Amino acid sequence: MKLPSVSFIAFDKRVWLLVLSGVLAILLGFYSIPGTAAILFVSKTGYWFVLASFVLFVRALWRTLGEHMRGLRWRSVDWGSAAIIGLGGLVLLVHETFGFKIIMDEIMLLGTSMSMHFDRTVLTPMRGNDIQGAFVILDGIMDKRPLFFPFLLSLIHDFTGYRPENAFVLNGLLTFVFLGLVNLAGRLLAGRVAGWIAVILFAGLPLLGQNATGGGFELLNLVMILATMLLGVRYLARRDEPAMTAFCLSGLLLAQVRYESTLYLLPVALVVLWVWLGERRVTLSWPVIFAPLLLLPYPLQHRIFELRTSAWQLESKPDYGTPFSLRYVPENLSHAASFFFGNPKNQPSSLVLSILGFVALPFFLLLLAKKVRTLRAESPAFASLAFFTIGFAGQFVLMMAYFWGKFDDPVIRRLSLPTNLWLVLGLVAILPQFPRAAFQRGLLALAVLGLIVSGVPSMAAHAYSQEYLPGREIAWCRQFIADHPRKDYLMIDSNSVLWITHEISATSPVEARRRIDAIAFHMRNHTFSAIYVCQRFNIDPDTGGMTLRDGDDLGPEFVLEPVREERLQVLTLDRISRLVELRPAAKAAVKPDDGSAVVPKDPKKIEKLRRDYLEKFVKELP
Amino acid sequence: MPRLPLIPQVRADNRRLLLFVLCGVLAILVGFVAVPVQVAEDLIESTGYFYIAGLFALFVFFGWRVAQPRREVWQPWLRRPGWTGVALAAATVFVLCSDPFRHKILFDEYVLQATAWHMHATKEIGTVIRAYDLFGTWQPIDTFLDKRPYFFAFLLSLVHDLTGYRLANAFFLNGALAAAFLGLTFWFGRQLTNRTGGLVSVALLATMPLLGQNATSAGMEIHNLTMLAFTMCAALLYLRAPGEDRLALLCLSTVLLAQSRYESAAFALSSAIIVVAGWRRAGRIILPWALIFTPLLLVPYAWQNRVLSATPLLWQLQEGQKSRFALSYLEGNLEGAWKFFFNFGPSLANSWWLSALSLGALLWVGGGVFWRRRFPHFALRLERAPETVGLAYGLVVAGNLAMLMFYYWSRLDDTIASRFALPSYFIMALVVALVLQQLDRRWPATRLAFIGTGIFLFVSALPAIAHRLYTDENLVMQEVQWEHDVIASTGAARVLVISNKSTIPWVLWKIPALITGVARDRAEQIRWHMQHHTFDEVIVTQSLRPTTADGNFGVDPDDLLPKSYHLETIAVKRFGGRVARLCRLVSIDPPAAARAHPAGTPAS
Repeated sequence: MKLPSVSFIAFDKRVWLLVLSGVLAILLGFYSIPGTAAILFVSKTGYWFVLASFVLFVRALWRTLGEHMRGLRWRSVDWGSAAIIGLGGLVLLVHETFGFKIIMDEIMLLGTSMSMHFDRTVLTPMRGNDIQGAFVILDGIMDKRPLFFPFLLSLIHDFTGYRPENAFVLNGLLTFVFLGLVNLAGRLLAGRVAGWIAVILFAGLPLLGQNATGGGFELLNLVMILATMLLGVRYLARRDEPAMTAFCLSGLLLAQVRYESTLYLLPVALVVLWVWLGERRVTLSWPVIFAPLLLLPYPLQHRIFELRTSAWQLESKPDYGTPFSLRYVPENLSHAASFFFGNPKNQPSSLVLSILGFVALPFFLLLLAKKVRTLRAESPAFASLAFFTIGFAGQFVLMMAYFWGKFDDPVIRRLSLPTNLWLVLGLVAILPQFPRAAFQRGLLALAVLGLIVSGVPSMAAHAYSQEYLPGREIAWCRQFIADHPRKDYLMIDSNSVLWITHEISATSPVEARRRIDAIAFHMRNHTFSAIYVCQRFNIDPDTGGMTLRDGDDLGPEFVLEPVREERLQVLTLDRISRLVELRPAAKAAVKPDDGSAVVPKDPKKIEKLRRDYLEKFVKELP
Repeated sequence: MPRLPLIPQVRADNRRLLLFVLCGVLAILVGFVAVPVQVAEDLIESTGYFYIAGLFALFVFFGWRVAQPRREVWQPWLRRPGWTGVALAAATVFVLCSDPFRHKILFDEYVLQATAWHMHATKEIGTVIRAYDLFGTWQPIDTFLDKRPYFFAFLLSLVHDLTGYRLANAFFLNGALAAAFLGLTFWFGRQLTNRTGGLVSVALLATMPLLGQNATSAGMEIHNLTMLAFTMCAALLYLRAPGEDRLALLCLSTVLLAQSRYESAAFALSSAIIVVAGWRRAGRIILPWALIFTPLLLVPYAWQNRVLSATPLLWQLQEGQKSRFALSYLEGNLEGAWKFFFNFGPSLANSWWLSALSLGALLWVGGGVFWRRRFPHFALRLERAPETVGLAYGLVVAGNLAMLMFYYWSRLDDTIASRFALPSYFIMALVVALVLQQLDRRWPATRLAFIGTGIFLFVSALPAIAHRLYTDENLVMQEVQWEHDVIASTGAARVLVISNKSTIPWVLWKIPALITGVARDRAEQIRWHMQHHTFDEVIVTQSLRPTTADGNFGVDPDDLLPKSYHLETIAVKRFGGRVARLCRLVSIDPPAAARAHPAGTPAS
């Protein structure tokens, strides 16, 4: 076979500029900037990088889709598909309770969005207080998670005001966008009914419902994968500069949703190259030339893994030495099987989707192998999916080689969502091979049956989420916050970020013990309306004795009075207590002041004392 | 175009002209000489409501007379506003979402609401400071004539009349006024430049946090701005086609504008210029009845101003200050203005972007006027009605700002005084749009201004709106709200509050209240009512202040009650560097026992 000449690429100045920009990005991202400086750089500039990427993406979308959008008329809308998308989205949203489901991940994302909203910095707040009437973030740390989801969330905060529940609003909206894109992908691959099949299969996937009602970035990841793939379809169909810019910038943003989503940059690059070779001309725009530099925060932020070895969370699985290894694959594959084909009561998977998907996937891969040489003659939708199959497969292999890549683990299940998408798209892609309409109608009926018989009961019971205690603890703490709307108290809790992201002053038990004098100062001076302590106990099944979990013990100096407790699981107890008295060693017991001192009459003296007090107050803040 | 004579040929009805002059002389005599201050005060209190109601009715009547023949112009736009309507709606929603609906300026906004309540309930002008529930009816006992003009309070009372009394009506009114203001800004900006220019003006104003802060408050600033914008639009309509109805509308709008804020009376000068300019255009003197009586319609404003001048208590001077206007305030105020207009942090509600554009625009205009050759693209076409109107009102806005620089409480970087910059920002936004349109001939200036506004939005406006330090650091407002929440949560139906701040918010919540000073003197009466169970609870509010850097709080000397008052703490909360305390008054010792404990010693 004669290979196509690539000399036209080598002689294009813009290509060299793109290469230069890429090399510069690699040098800056991986070599030139030391770890600590890299983190500082991202914390100060990360927001602006994502904002610039997003603005360029929206502009590119408008350039390529604007004409189409202007031509939209109410009469031209496919109301049947819209109704199915609407109903599918409702099914996903109504059965689960809105809440932060995955401890740390979702709260850390919320925290980053909070600092982006307030200060345009990329930090998860670790200290925050109301000093002069407004809650202000005093300190924070850089999180390891990519920035696009917190950025979008911060946009909602910007235009509607800060509230943690905005994360659910965003994911709720993304659910409908995702189903709309799934419908479009199905329709492009195999017609109108195929779009409906794809939507209904996802509407019956409890895992999707769980994430649609959470505060995580999984829905956005799915939306961006599909959006990029569909923009790839448009680029393959039109082969013009606006479509290419939108496609590349979509890939750029996708890479900043989840860590491993950078994998999808490979199919994006391959599609662009493939079109150039087919057209024998280079299509490039300035935003694409600078795109590698816009991606700079990603590798710089990744330095956290060098600086903070705990970022890999390897300590949570003591038997594993490295984050990625092929030796994890067999075990992870068995866990994947246990997830995809598990009992719907125990696993939020969809048997119908898994069975249909895993039956279809080999056929799809065979079809792909058969058509790969004649891919240019295929529809743009099939060609785009062919390239994105590399991304889907890469993501699946990566997960299987990950030390924590067990799809049946409550925390990890969500990582199977791109694979579920791959299964559905694979199924839809082979449907044109079965030309009889009855076949598609039969599949549609099967999908509806699966939704009603398996999906909805599983979502309604959501037994699969009950075993994950941290998620339920967050919901319990949030109920306490809802019951105490005046957020003027201090919470001592090992998960202090949760409280700070809800604009409540908080500190950890370790810090509270270390700075007991500061706590005493604030208790005496009514800094907070109350000081609460949140603790978790494990219960001995034989004796019924309760032991505090590691890190929750405050010691005998803190005299507590329980105000609320609940056994969220049989052998655990969560308790919130009020601090009623402090008994620091060798000092008098501390209680709130009764306000009996005599104040000088001179207003100037009063003002000076107020300033002196505030100065000390700020120094003593937890 | 033939040159118009400076003084138009007099073709007016001589009797009307004579009457106009007589009204002017009479207005000066009645307003400043013939009527003593006390009589003026009584007259405002008893007849002011009907004066402003009549004025407003005439304003609506002439507004309709002007709008009705041009129905074909505005009705299609209202039916299909298109993208412009979407942009204006988006700007209004953004403005109204950028700050919470709550009281921002204490106690100005409560005073206005108390005046509105009194107008609603009694059709008299007065601010209620003491009221009781007598036999099931909330009865005002003591009122005073406030210094603030009362058109806003009247409009609010009208909303109460039509929908029932509630505190939130002030927010609804200001929300509606904000939408009207942005619409009028767009219209005037469009007449001054073009559609894009109008949208630039709206975008520049909507992205300024100060506008959102005031649009969601219960104050009169947005109302004043709306009246200013309306008056400018009325002036433009008149100048384009001088006629009796349009001139009447302009006159009435000007009088109502004068009743919107103290210094807005100065816009009468702008309107006078426009009236004469209209006469020149028409080539005749147009004298509708509304214009003839305009001097007399301004008399209540003069009376109220005299009452204010004669009542130093209303000036709210701070320690060491002797007069409201002085040269000595200039330096501090100029420094404050500079810090405000070019503040880049989130602590103030300004727009440095609009300030910078305005500075550039003013330099451009200055350069164009003085070095015409070096600014070939500059054109100030005063023969065009929008430019004439803009200049006439813009100069008075500038004059007002200059006058404010001599006022004792006009440091614009003080969050309480920042709102005084709103009229300046309004005119600045229009000037910027005008200059951008001229620059568009050479550069894509308007496009760049839009991009700059977007950048400003993300770099400065949104972070400032997120923090809302200029609103949330108003601790007294938070304290009053907290006190009310705690007292409401006690569940007591009949409460008497002894407040260390003001009685007015409590009066508006229909809770009887006294200030601490009065309570000190009226111990016997309070004890009598406690004995007779007039109130379920008597709650005392106090401030605790630190006496050392370590805290050691004590009661503020101004809030101390005699020792004969026995208190029991029910709630304590910190507000910045002080602590607010609510106590239940348990008992008051009878006079014989009280004499043993002199006033001023702390109550237990």
